[in-house]
Amino acid sequence: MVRREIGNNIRSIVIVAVIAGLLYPVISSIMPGWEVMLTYGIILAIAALGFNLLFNYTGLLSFGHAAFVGLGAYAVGLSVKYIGLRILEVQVLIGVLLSALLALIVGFIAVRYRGIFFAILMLVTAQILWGFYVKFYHITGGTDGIRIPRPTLFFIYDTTGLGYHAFNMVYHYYALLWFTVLAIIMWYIVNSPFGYTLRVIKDAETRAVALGVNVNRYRLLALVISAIYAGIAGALYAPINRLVTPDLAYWTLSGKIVFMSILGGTMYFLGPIIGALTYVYLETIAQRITIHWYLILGITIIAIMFFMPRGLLGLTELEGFKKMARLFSALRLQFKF
Amino acid sequence: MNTETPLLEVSNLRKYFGGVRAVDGVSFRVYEGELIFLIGPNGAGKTTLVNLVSGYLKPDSGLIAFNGRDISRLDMASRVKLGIARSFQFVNVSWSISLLENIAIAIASRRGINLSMLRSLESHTDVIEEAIQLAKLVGLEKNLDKLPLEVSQGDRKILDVVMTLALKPKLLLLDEPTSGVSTRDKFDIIDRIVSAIKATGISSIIVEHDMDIVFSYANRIIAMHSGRILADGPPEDVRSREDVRAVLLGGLYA
Ligand SMILES: Nc1ncnc2c1ncn2[C@@H]1O[C@H](COP(=O)(O)OP(=O)(O)OP(=O)(O)O)[C@@H](O)[C@H]1O
Ligand SMILES: [Mg+2]
Repeated sequence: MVRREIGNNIRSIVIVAVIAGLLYPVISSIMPGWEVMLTYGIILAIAALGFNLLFNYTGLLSFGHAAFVGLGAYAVGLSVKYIGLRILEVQVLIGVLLSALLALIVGFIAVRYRGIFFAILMLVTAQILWGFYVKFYHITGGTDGIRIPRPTLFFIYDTTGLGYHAFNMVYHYYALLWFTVLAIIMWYIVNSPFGYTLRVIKDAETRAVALGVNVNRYRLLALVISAIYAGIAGALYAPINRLVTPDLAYWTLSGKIVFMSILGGTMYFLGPIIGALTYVYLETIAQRITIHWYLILGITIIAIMFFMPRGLLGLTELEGFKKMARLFSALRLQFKF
Repeated sequence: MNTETPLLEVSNLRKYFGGVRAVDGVSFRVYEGELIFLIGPNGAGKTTLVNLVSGYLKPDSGLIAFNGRDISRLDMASRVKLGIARSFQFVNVSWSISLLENIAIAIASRRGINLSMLRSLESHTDVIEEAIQLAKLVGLEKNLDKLPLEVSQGDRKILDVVMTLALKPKLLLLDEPTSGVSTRDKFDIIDRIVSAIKATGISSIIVEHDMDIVFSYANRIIAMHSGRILADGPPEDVRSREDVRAVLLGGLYA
């Protein structure tokens, strides 16, 4: 069951992950400050991985994943503000539980719908939560949000005393650990009988029913898993951003998650990951160059979608790239690495 | 007359779509091990009948009994568990996974393991092994690693049937397993399907338009027209009926 495309091949995934991990110190030494960008990238990649379980594997487009990101972030914010909780793993767990609960409640109705109706139901959910964070400012701090102090990691490691750069460094590897574990789990999920059943549901729903599959239950489960990923991303986002605001539940963030996944290539397991990293990079550059960065970004996005409908990873299917890949494997055989 | 309990007993089944009487008072019985061909012109109600028996549609009235038990209110998934499986008139498989994976998922579904999440499908070697064996039974073992769009229409139709066989049903409903295939390849395909059915001994109802095929393979034929059963019996009887010839055979088998 070897997948031909590079983005779906386990060996290529490991290679990319190792290269990305190695690159980090290099990037942060030659371009200080960019390591924070990379951290944002891998955190958003977690949310995008969740999004794509729903989109590419289950055939459901969620236009409201910010609902879960926001919930994860506010789990951190509110637990700091009201009970002084600083142990990030516990806060992540609260975010996970809340996201899963919301997914169950919304999903109970939403999975009965397909296509645009599902997308809109999710969008509405996120907007309701956004409204809540804005309006109930005496609880949530409104648009000013909630300041997030330095977290305690692994239950005992208090990061309060760390300098700015040291914290960013520590937190990057902390987030990278989460990302790696979650990416591996997702890899197992999409290749499991469950993952393949989702594909049958997506491509041939009536067939899935004819196989005796309770389609809505599978959709609900996929939504819950997807929401948990987005919730974890939201919780991890809070400490690096140092501030939790309603923006994290706003539709623009939902849109970003959709776009990142398409940018990288939703057909590929690696697509959302590459897409999230690239997106954060593009956004940062665009913001540095001009105040009209949204315009530049928008044009870039349209160009990419127009010329590369399969996303960046679609490029790996071009002949030139394949030749390089063949050369690479020939070298590998020759030099046994 | 047969005195045992029929596997399937359909009585006075009706399904209207607005003014269209798609199935209009249909009754018949199917016994263990029978191979029945269901024939009729376009719009006769064949697919609707398959949909009603498989649970894809609910009847307006009438009874469907399986092994003596009324199943007309059960949903499709419950009927699959009881042993009624159907294929589709138009190929209905996952386009993004290989033939082998499609079959394996059908098997996983029967075994109740498709909620398993943390082990790859590939590593369920017993499922994969069974899928390969099943594919061999119908001569589909060559292209198992290909995607459905990379194989011939004939292989896709066979895949559709294999996914149904993978459920190990007691009653198999095949809706035009040779549609969309060139006349030349039809016999080959129906031959592989019928021999697999005979090897497993499953009672089957096959919808088929090609009369050459029907009269070469059928032990029993049910002929439908305008939602009703025109004739039901051995091929020679059905063939000699004037009304059947008029609507179906166009004098071809006079
Ligand atoms: N879902 C539906 N809604 C409305 N009318 C329908 C529906 N399904 C079938 N019909 C009508 O019911 C009649 C029987 O259709 P059915 O598909 O059962 O025929 P068939 O014998 O399978 O024909 P074919 O050989 O073309 O496949 C037709 O007139 C068809 O237009
Ligand atoms: Mg039909």
